[in-house]
Amino acid sequence: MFFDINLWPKVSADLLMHKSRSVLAISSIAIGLFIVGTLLGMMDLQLGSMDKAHQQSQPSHINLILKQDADFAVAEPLKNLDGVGDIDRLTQFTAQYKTPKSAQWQTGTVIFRPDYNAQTYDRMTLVSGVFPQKKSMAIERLSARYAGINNGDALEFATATGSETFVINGVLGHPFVKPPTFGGQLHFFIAPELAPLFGIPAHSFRQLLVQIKPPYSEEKARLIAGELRSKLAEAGIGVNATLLQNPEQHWGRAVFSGINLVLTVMAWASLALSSVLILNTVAALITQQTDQIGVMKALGARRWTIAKIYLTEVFILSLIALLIAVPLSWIGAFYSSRWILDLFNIELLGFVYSAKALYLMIAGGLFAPLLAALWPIWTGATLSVRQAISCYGLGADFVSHSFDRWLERLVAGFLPTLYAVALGNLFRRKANLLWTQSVLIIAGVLFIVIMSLIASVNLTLNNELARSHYALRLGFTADQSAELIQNVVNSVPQTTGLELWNRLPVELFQGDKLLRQSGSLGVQMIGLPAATALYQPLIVSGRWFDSTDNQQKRLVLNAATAELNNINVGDTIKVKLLQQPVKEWQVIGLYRGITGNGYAVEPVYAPLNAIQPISLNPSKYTFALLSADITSLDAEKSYVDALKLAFQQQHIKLDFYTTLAKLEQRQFAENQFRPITLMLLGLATLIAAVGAIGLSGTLAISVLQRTREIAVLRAIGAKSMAIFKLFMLEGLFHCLLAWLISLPLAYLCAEPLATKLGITMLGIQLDYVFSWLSVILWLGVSIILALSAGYLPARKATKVSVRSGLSY
Amino acid sequence: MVESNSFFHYTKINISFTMPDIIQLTNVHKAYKLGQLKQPVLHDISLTVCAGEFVAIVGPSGNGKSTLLNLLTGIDRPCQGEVIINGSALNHLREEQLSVWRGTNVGIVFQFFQLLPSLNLLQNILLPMDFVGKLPKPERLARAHYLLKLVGLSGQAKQLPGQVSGGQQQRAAIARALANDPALIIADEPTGNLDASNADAVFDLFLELRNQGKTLVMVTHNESLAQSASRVIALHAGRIHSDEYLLGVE
Repeated sequence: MFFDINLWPKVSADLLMHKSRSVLAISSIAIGLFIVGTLLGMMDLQLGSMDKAHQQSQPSHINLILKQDADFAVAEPLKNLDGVGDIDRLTQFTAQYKTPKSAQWQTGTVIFRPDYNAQTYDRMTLVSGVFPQKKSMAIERLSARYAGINNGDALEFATATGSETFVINGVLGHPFVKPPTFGGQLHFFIAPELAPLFGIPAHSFRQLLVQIKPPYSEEKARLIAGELRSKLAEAGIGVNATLLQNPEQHWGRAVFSGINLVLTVMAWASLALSSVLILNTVAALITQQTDQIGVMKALGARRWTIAKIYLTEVFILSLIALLIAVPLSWIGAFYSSRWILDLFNIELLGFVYSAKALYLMIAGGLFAPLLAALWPIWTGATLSVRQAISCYGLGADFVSHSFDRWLERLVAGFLPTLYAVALGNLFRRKANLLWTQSVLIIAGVLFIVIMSLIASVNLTLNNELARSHYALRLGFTADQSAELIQNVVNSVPQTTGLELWNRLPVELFQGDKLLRQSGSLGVQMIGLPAATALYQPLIVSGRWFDSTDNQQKRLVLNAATAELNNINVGDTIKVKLLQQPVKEWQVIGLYRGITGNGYAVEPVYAPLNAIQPISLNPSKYTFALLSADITSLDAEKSYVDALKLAFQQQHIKLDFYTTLAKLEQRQFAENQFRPITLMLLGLATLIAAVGAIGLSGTLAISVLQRTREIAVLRAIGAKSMAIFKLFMLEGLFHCLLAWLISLPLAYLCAEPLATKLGITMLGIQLDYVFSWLSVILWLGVSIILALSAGYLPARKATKVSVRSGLSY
Repeated sequence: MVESNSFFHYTKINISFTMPDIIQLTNVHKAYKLGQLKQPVLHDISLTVCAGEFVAIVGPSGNGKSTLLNLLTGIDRPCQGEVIINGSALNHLREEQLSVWRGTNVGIVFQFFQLLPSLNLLQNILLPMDFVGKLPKPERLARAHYLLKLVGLSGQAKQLPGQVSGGQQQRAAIARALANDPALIIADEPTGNLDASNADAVFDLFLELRNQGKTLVMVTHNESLAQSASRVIALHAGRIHSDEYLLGVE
């Protein structure tokens, strides 16, 4: 151990006499540790809580979303199917409502379950009040908070016969709900007795929730889901979608696995950056105390004695930083986890911290700074007495390199003297410059990469929207005839075009094996006119449909799924549709999915007239795609509301999940990505703060090292403002230089990094665009950083008196 | 009256000047705090120096020479007494005012040259002119070149301090001290860190300044340089031990 009680007077004197330097060193380590503790703690708390909440909700392994209402009796025999553990049922439908604050009808989702007190799977928890009973309703926790609706509030709902007012008497937590802040609808709960008021039989269900007998495996669940679909089909019930869930791991894990990997790397990178600052600070300390080292050596101190002094100092600084960072990171991790978990409708109750993050902080916080300080300490400790005690006034440590001469000739020679001094000082201590620049450059590159990632996400969404020429996609809970749809659509004047699509549950095989899927919620076949004018996904290989594909067994597959299964354009795969025998279909194209980290039902596109004869009702369709001249969200909302009303008047129910308005969908996607981009931006800000502390430290050390020089400047007539400007300029030059170097680096790194981040964090292959705006923004941030980081050291420089500086 | 001095061997002549006083020190005391104790450094110093005088301050180390220079340049303040330089009572000026005052009124030459290492010699000379702003910008460059020529460094204008010899650095430092044409030049051991040949060059420069009528106050251990002064003040134990005017002897 390097701690030696005999060295304590020197150690304590160094730490106490140079308080500002000690504070700088402590804050450098503390901020790095804070980032490590917050991010690692947040990930630990968040994943742990998500899984725990998921397990507590008793997740269904299979969720079959039916095409129509099915009577409770239909579900009973399914319990006895081989491999089925138990079943539960619920119904979810859309309804129009008015809040006390708004006179306008809005669309919401209404849910009912057979018995709220005996929920088996996907349990909804009571947050406050009571479960829905008789004529009282409950509201979902996030919906209540978003809309400001409380227990006791009355809401008017459009019913099958007119409208009726219901009182909210309970708040429930739903484990699987789209947050309204992302653009989701409000969710309400009713007792089954109220369902007939909305035209739905009380003893019916629309979602079949199933747990299979243990042990769980995705393949087993898929197999049983197939059998369940067959049984339902025998009872004349079609299935719109099949959702599979891992019972142990929360469905949101997929969203976070990539993000967490990136955050972990960034957390340790931050600690590394902080350690660089320690290296810088210790190197400066050694430079400043070179004469003291010389004296101590002349008095008989050995290399190890000298090293022990400075190692003890670094250890004490690290320990203090750790004590500061630990509670702050606990707070940071707790509140950021709470924020993220809230988006997933999970409440983090009571204050908790991550023990794992704490151990990592202790290990990293004590060792990383010591490791970083080792080199400058050893360099100082091995100085000879002669080297250490020689001092020849200003510039004794300044070695004129050819670079300095070049700089003087090419740049500094033409600058006003004050600027030339600041520029010269910038390049004077090359090691300091290198470390400070590396911190600032990394912060800059990261900032530009993150902004390019955000710009690329927007571009990707815009491009995707540009490929979608429809304004609205209506999904029906039960397939509807073309004539009826046409009539209703025609009653809303803005519509300029209509296309009808169909959807069928599908199973895809390669040989005898089911295809592995990139989307975690299964696949569905979407049949659309071969010469569709309203939609074309981004084809990454092969081609999209044209009129030659009419009635042909051809399909366009998700590129990620194709890659997973090593399928190429031109290959044939086996397709099982409904109860039809398996047939061979040809893959003619691969499209890029932008659903984001696989938590979606993945479409497989096929010509409509190739699947329509197979469907249960060949004259009916699942989707209506409408084109209309709409450019604003408000106009879109009015149009959608008008259509919904028109369909409602015809007693046609729209499916909440598959009814998508284009602009609203874009907003939802943006909102969905926002927490991730905000988190990244927050991280970039923290790294920029590390950069600012680093710069401030460098400048503060610069003031300490150049006290004599400041005194000379004072002696030859420099006013306080000139000294102040000198150090502010040095800070500005630091930031401008880092900005200049960041530009080409960021330009080179941004595309591969943003693309990789897009895949890892968002699960999508982005259309890349370099954000030039971020370059300008980073320049602004750099200037602000320079001014804020330079202010205190520059002020301190103006306080240096000539006598103390020259210390005659 | 001619006398021999035991400290330096020079010819001493009392001369009365009719030029105005540029330095007036009246009953100046200076002490430094060392923990609880006050360590007196200068005792009751009263001194006047007329414009155009070349004063050498001599004496053994630790007898208050540098402290006296610090008082003359406003770098330090007296505990008692008054310091008036070129008409300004330095006791009453704040640190910021002193910086401005020094830039205009005093040129300081340091033992270790103290040129800014990252500026070339020309820029080092321009720096005080830029600080003070007395001359219009185009004239500053011309004056810097003139001063470099004066100290014999025209060819080294674009060299960094690290690229020239110690003697050349000191000559550049003298040029810098002259940049704003101050009434008073103060030099602290200007040849103390130079070898014999470089010390000679600096010595010649000071003689040239003396001949030009500049007021020079210099702390030195260099006997020849002290002998070339018009007046030698010897300090001993913080008091003026002797204050004598010399007849210039080459």
